Amino acid sequence: MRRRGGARLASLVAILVGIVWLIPFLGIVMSALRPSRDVLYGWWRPPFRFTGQNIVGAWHHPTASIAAGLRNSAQLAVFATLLPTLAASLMAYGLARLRFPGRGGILMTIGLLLAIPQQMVAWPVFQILNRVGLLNTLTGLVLVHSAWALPWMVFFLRGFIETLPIELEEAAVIDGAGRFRTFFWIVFPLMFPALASAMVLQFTWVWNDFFMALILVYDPRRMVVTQQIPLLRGQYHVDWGLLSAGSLLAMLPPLLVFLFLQRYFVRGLVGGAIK
Amino acid sequence: MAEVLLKEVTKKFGNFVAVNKVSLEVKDGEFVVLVGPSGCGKTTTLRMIAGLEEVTEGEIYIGGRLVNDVPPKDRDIAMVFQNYALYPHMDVYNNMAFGLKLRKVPKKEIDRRVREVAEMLGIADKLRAKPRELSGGQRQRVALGRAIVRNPKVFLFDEPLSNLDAKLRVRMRAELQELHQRLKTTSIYVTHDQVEAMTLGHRIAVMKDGQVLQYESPRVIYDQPANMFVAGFIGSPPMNFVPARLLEENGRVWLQGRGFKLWVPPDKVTPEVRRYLGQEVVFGIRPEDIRTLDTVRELVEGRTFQGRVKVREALGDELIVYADVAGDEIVAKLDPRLPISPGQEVTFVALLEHMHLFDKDTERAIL
Repeated sequence: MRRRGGARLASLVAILVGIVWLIPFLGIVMSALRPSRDVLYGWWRPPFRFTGQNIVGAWHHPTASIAAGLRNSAQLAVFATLLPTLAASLMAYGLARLRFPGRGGILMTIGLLLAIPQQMVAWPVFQILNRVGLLNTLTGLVLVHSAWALPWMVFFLRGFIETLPIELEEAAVIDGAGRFRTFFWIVFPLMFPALASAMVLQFTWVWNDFFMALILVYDPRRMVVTQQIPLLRGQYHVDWGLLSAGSLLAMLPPLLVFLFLQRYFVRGLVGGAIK
Repeated sequence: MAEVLLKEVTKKFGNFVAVNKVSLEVKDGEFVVLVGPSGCGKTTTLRMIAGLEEVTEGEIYIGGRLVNDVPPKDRDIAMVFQNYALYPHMDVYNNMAFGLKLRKVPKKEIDRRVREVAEMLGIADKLRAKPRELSGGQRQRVALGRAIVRNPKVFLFDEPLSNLDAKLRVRMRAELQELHQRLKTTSIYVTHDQVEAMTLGHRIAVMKDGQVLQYESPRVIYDQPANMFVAGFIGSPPMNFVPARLLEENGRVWLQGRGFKLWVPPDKVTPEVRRYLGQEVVFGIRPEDIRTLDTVRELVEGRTFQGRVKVREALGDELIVYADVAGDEIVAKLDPRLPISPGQEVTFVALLEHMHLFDKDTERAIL
């Protein structure tokens, strides 16, 4: 009896927290889809009339086109997700399975790097990119995000690889596979649940990043969507509808990526390998 | 096909010696079983032959070629793992074809061989199934099939049946035997199960603490164990070991224990046995070489002893009796129809033509 009461209380708290989380999101949806003058005194006030005008306006905005921002963000996020995922999975495999001098030191260094705040490296990163001529380019931003992702991804993926039964790799080696074949044909496919998780996290992180983009990219044509949104504010007047529509559009891609990849999260691919 | 030769092979993990100067010769087409308790070094030995573990000292030859520095893929061996190690993301067909693909065997040939082996193992209808859709026995067959399609010089088995339930294990054991008769590929098989060792092996290497204690045919291992460990490890229930003293009285050699005095048959009194006259030895006799007096029709003079029954275990086809003989425990395997109950005093007969004697310090066989 007591346990059921506790469970009910926990559910109640969870629901309340959920509502608190959802309200701002609901507000953005409402103000994005309703005419500006209807929401002037609060998005929760009737009458409820809906329009696509704000969306279209934000999409085609003359100075801060969300369409262009989305395109830039997509390019950035896709490359800044795939590149570190691939590199980190190779590094993680090496650190999980190979024994070589300095391995412990490398692991420790990676662990320490995880503790560094991004703001601390902003200035050196700016200088480096400037020197190699990648300042104000998406390529530069891709590299910065990739480098930033490597430590946590290596840690995360290495942990996962260590849970895979080593006999699979031994079987592959006896079957005639070398290190790279063993990795790409046996280990990599089995890492998919971990890779999916890492990719969702990285994609979302890169997509939502404002700080690095703000520092490293200033050409309006190359700006990512998070940079475009504040530009939707007019100089003398804030069009909340337009701003909300831009935010809503910017929010969608990570959500879609998550929905697409989340089914791989829990699905263990290793079933049937052993025992 | 090929013979495998181990010359004083040693494996150290840091300071721990896992395998200590093991020398083994496996003939072409022979089925050899490495058996011993866990941690005896049998799996490490197998993994060194496979190339999964480096050899610290000594030499390994496969088919006359020194393979110490040859990578596993170039040793032309196939291994069946204890937990099968099937590639979970590949179906049965690709699990079996993987090794052939890597060896650039033509597609048609791969297809022919995979289907032939699948047919042979009775998994032809499962070729498109993923490992997780298969039962334990089927997975085991796929693991075998993956080894067989490669047509390697040597099969290595690492406790392949230990994950199966008892019934399936018996069946797969028979199938393995049949398979070997058909393929005649040199095989090295690791197990801790003495029944598997006895039934499968042409020769058995009994290992303990990284060393091979005896390497002989199952018959010899059973009838003439080289020491007390081998004698106790093979056979179920294990051989009885009782302290006794060798005496000579009236021209006869006797074995005097706490609760018995047995007459050692004259043909057993070898010069080696004679050297132990007057000394403490360990008398060994297998449970099946003990009878009760009323079931023996031959002369029993000097072969009987008294015991009080402590426990009886009727297993249907046999009766295991634990008896107290003046403080020593003796196990006898008897006819299940015998009316014996705990607490009863029984006169036992020892079939001394099957007796063993061991040095009590070195544990080596004297007889």
